[in-house]
Amino acid sequence: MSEVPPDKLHDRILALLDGTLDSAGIQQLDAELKAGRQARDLFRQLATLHSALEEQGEAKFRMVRTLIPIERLLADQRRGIVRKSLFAAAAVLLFSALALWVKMVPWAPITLGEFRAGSGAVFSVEHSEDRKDTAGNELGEGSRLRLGQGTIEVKFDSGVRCVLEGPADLTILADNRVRLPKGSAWFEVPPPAVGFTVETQQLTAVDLGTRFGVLARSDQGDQVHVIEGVVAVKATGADDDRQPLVIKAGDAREAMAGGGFREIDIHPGKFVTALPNPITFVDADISPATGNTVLDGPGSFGPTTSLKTNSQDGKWSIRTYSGVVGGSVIASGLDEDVEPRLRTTFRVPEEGRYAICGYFWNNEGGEGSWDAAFQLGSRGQMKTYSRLNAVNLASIPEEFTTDVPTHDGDGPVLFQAALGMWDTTRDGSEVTVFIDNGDSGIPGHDLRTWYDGVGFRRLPDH
Amino acid sequence: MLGKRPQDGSHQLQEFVSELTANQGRLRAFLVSLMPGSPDIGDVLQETNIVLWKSRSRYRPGSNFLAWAFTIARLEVLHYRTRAKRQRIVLLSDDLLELMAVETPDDLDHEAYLRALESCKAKLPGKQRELIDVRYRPGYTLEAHARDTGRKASALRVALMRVRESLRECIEKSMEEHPA
Repeated sequence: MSEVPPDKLHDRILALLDGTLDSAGIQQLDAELKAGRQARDLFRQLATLHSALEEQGEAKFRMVRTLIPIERLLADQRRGIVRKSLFAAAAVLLFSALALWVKMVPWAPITLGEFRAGSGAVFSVEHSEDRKDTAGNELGEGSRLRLGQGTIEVKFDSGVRCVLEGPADLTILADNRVRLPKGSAWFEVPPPAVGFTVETQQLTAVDLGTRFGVLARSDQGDQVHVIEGVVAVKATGADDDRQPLVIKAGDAREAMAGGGFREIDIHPGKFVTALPNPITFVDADISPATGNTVLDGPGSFGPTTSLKTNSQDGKWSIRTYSGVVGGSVIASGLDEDVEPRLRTTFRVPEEGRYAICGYFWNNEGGEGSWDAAFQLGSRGQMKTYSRLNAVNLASIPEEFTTDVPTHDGDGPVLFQAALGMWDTTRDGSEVTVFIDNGDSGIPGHDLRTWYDGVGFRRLPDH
Repeated sequence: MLGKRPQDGSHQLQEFVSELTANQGRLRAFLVSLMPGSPDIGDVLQETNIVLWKSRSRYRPGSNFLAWAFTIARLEVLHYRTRAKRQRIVLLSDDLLELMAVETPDDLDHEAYLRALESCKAKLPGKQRELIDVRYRPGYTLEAHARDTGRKASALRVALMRVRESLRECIEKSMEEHPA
């Protein structure tokens, strides 16, 4: 109690707020407050000040206030549900009112999630010593994914989904906390897992229920792009009592040297949001009436041949070749231009965006260099593809929904050319690809083209 | 093995969590005004948060979260007062409390208020700022500070009241000059 009763209204109010006003003082103040609005306004102002100063004091001395204690959730919810969602729910509710910063609670050493690698991904997985027996694609606390190329999807038991694009390095620190010193990662955090935290070298991002991407780079500022919801970011090494910066949907920030952030344009397209869908290979077929490939102009096909150098009649021929498994190819002659070009038409199964590929054989390492020219749709331009701008399928174990021709020996190899994107809303459901014999100009090349088919891959919807 | 996607409306829950976390300062100040000087403010705030959390399905994004939260906080304060009266703790009257609750605005920009507070604190002389820091340092008392500095606690208390009053005036002036 105060040694001297405060004799002014604001002193009495402050004494009450401090818990030092005696009973008589409380009754006197009660009457004064009832009597006038001005007195009540003064009271409210001082109470607000007192509360704010207490808030600041807690923040300054790093006290993290629990909004809702976890044990209350345990008592109030069915245990079966809580076990799965406890960690996530705790993260939701453990925010400090001022700092919105999360203190993590240790979790039992159980499996926290699993991953799935996209086709062509080159990666390694390391587990902490106490998890060295972790099986298959399971991940636990301390598990580290190092991705050289390609994409990996991580699904946490909490419901968080992460898509990592190589080169990248990701370590699982806890059920809802990861370290990303390098790489591009996209996160989808469901509401019960709010509080999911991503640490990079330069920043810490705490999710408040959202979809966002993090770009961690060693030579430039790390970036956070918020596609949906809200993310709170804080520079690494910033004072604990510094307020995090809240980034809203549609905004992006880049960490700057010195601890601040600068506003940058958001680029959702920088992030891969799903593992690539497998490719459907469409074999070129010149069967009359039922085939998908025709001459794109007057003319005729040459005779079917198995000769090494097929007919020199300026025509496309069906070519078989020893060692090629999976059907014949449509081939042009050794050193002649062929007329007219080919046209392959097929339909994609549903509305959406598709990546379209062309397939041709290349005698890589062997005699000459076999190229092919493709044009996607009538709006595109004919472009020659060779081993310089197409990829050897044997070097990128691409995933297919269908069988793809292979060679069982040392002969030619199948190359995949990325022709472009097909959007059914703009281009329609019927895809047209034009094919001509290529002329890459690579020393030693000839005009031979072995065309085998096209492919399509469904792209994720944005 | 794989986590199941939650069934809650994600947007609604996201908004709810944002509102809950963003309004803790306002909610706390509201409770301070309804139960001044009580050491149980933190507990009542937690109880209010729990009730809000359990009722989260009733929240509609875009609605006045704070008005709803104040209503629930008032009920929790009533529970607290029932317990306090049993313990014969002297409280402000029920009538006054009702008046205070009704008159509390729910549109104060708390972030702007905190900024104004920072600005006004920065204008204080060093000794006065130190006094504020000492008073609001968790676990530290004016009495301990008086012992540590060889000053009288009563003198510090009077000085503290003057400092807070000048802070209040500065903040109110600042908020009037720079309305949100």
